[in-house]
Amino acid sequence: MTSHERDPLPERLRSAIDGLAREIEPRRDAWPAIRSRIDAERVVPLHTDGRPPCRAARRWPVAAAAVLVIAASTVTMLASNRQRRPTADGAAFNTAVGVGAGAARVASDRRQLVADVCNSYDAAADDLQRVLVARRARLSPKTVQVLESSLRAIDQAIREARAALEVDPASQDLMDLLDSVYRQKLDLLRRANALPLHSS
Amino acid sequence: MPYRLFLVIACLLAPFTAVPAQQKIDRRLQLDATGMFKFFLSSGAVRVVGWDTDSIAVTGTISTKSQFYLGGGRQGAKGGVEGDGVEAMADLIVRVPRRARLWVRGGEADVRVEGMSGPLDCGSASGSVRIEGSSDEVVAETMGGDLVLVGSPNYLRLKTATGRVDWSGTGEDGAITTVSGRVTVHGGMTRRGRIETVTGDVRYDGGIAAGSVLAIDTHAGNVDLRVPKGTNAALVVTAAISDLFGLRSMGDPAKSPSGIVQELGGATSGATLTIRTFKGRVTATSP
Repeated sequence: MTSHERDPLPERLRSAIDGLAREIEPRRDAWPAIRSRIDAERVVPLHTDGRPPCRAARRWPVAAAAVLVIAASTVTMLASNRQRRPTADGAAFNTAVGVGAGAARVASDRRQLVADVCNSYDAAADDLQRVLVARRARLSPKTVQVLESSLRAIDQAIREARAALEVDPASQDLMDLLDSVYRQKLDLLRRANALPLHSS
Repeated sequence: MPYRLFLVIACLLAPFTAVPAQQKIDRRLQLDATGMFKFFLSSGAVRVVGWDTDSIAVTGTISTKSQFYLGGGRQGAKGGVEGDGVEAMADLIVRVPRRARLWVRGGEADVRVEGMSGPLDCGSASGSVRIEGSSDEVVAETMGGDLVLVGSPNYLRLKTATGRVDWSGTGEDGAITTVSGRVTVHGGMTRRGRIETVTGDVRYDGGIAAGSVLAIDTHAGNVDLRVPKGTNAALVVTAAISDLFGLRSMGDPAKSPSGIVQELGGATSGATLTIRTFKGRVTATSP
């Protein structure tokens, strides 16, 4: 640090800085929907009267809130780990999330999630496959053969994983494996569409 | 007897009738030591060799119906063979500055790269790719061709569809993807690694460093894990059938694959090795 940097600020500059707004809000017309959600969850400043923020009298609500947050996070994490991680003696990953109507609702939600994910991937794959169909005649027959056999293997894997998820929609591992196969499909299609074409 | 004689003569002549007329290539171009060079050919074979000279030299033969091109400046150049199929058959040796940034693609051609230390991006659709060298960054892909890497890049991305992947070396950050191609790793990834196949088998023969994360996901491939004695890592396996260091586990085929955690060496190093397969078998052994 130079001596110049250690010097106090000139009075004129200091007053100019003090006069600046503490926050600059984004324009109201930008992303109104996002804006309204941010406003709904706006954090209220703990001190607005210029006093130091860490007064002892104000510490306990913050500490209590912190304890609550940590406790809630821990419970959530434990519950999540119990659901996702295997046990050392080889028990199944996929413990039920609940029983009765609650479990049925969770299963239904998960099935819907799986369907939504698959629909999104399928739509993207369809787009890429349309491009591939248009280019297919100008790819080498050897490459077309490789692509067809690979896509068959991938589609078979997707069908099997989806069928397993129908039976066990809570399985995060199945979901991850399905996601991996779908990503492979999209990547293969993208790579196929980037291959050089024959001139004839 | 005359029929057999005719067959023998036809077989002997066949190679000569299939090969089109050829022209010799011997071209040179200056390129800075760390310049960029792009090369493309459709069929045949290209061998790229790194050398300690600030220039590119291309020698070999191409068919007379194809056209060779090479051009550019000292910081970047490109070359290749224009044409398709047998008519663009080429057999070339390309010498480039060892530390150059190399991009090479072969449509159906085999690509071989040796002695390079600069970043590599190599690929072929149905040809094979073989890389030997000390490059720090290797990206290579094929569709049906095999992909072989002998080297230890810190950054590694290898992809095939049906082609086999065979890597000997170590790397900090690696990802290997195939559809049905078999993956074989001798060495391993020391910080983070991911191997994904759909039906291809995976054999990982190597260690896992402290704090590193390695994930192997395959839908139907078998996974054969061989870790060195004294490995310290958490091994998390999700599979219908597994045999982990002699501890056999058979899941219910009607249910999802079941999970097992084994703490190797106390698992105090923070390293995690996760293997997931929908219907493959996982085997883990240690010498």
